[in-house]
Amino acid sequence: MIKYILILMPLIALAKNPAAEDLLKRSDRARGGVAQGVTWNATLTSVEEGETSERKFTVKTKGDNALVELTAPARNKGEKFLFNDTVMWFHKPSLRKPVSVSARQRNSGQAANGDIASIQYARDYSAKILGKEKINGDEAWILELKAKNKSVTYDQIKYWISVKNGLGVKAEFLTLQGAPFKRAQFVYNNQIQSAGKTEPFISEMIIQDATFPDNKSILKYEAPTAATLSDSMFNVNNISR
Amino acid sequence: MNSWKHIFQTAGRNLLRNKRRSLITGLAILSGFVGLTLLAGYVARVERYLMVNSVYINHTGHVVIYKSDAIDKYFSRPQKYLLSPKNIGEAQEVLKLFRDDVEFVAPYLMANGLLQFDTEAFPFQGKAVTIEADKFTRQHPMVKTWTSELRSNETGTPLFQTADISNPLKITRKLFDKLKNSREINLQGLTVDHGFNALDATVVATYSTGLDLTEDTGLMTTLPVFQELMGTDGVTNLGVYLKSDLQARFLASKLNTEFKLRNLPLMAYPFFDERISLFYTGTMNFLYAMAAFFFSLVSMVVILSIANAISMNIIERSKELGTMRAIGFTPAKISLLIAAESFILSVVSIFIGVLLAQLVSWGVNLSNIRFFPPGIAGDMQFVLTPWPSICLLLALPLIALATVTAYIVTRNKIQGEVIGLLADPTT
Repeated sequence: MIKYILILMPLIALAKNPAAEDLLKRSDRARGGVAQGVTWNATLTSVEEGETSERKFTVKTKGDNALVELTAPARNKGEKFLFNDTVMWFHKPSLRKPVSVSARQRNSGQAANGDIASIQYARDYSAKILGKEKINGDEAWILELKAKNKSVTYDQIKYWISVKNGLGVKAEFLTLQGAPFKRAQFVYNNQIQSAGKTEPFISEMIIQDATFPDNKSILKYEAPTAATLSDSMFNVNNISR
Repeated sequence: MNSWKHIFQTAGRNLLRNKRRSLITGLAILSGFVGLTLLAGYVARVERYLMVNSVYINHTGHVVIYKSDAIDKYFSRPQKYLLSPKNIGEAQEVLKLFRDDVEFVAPYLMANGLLQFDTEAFPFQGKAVTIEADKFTRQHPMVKTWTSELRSNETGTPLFQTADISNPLKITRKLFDKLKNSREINLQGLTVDHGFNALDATVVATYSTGLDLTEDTGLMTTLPVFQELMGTDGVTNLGVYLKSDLQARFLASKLNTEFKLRNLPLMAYPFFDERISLFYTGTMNFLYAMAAFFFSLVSMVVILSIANAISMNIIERSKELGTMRAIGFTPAKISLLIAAESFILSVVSIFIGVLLAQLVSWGVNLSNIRFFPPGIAGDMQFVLTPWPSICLLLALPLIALATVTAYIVTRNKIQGEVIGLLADPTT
């Protein structure tokens, strides 16, 4: 009898604590990590030292790839960011060829290039569940994410995923020493139809400077639509076309 | 008049009579003067090098005009703290009042970012200049005189000759090496509204900033390149080049008064303000402190040598001095006589010292001795510049010091009874 209990105990524990990677995969879907493809429009409003700036994008993602095209302001029209697996490229009409850029580089305000369309936390980070905590009255898993390689946007993330719906609700982006330097909140008021199912989709990501919270960027997601996208769209050789 | 002539004649005779002591005291003054002159010559050379490097090579100008508070906040809020074309026009209007002092005015735009080749990127700290400013500074006589070494480190095409090249860059040698000597590279940075931007650029030249600190991040380009990268038509500051660098403090102060009167949001700083040229100010303060220390040291040696020589002189000549007192010379007159001896001795020693300092400097400069000063990129020649003005500036206080010391010591020593001096058993 004791033998059976000993065998069953880890299984019981597993049933109680879901695998961290599964939690991440589920939460990634609601932030654009849809295998078939999804498109949306995004508006990034940044407030830095009291100055406000705004940028608009169209975002297309498929699996591990993402293509972000700037639509406003007018002088940035035609600028593109391509996430090709973990490599990120930037191109604009006046450049001879696409240039590789870092996902960590600041895009605008508090938002790094990687914040705009790097949605694959499950692919980029190894996760460990630290425990549970109540966020706005709802229970959330606390995950510790560590970068699998140096090309990802952050070295470490502390990530809260709702127990109820599996959506990422809050994140702290940490330095190598483990100190938070940015904080983010996620809101899911959008929905997408995928494989015949209606799923929640992110509508807002608010990124704040951990030391100066008035410096922040608000990324609004509009009109998310599941779409069948061609792989060639995400080929770096086609980015300039 | 005759009395002074007589005093100096007697003093000269006394000096010749006590050759050995005169020689020893004279040598103390001479060696102290030569040491001080050479040290001051070295300090002067370093000051000129750093001044020219800061003002001309790194395109600062003698006076820098920023938007108020921009000096602290420009890099965090460039949009707010850039000088707009309107601000530039206002500043130039004020500068017209000082046209007699001003040689040239240049707008500058500063930016930080990344230089990328292939998949590797390296940070840069850059300054964009106009073609005219590049030509002006490169061909300036001060640059040719004081920083010819930095000019010889420059290779490639000068920015002012790159009108047909799109986005030309001049980068430091170390940065060029990091980029594997690639000429077609990519320039990345943030626009004034904090957005990402990138440009294709061509490395046309390599140069040295002259400073270790910026030797692997320095970049210079033309104004339109950074204006496109940052998405602005503004500039960071205006550099005002003066006909004489001695006018920098005066002009900065006058400009600030005028800006205030006209209620303009502008602020002028002289190049030696530590917020403008930290390295220049830090190094020069250290060198001035060191020079002041050595000057005090040499002054002490001179004072002690003269005091000692005069004490010995008085002890040896107490009978003579007693006789002089007995026949009616007052202590003040005797003190004047000894002071005159000291004056003649120091003038002669310093005259020889000037010749010796020039000779040593000539020999040192000819030897082309190289050294690595801290904070300076690469090596530089050990050059001594004992200008006549330096010699004069050091000679006058030393002569005064020697003369006054002799007078005071003598006055103190011959205050006693005349009989005591005449009966001194040591003579």
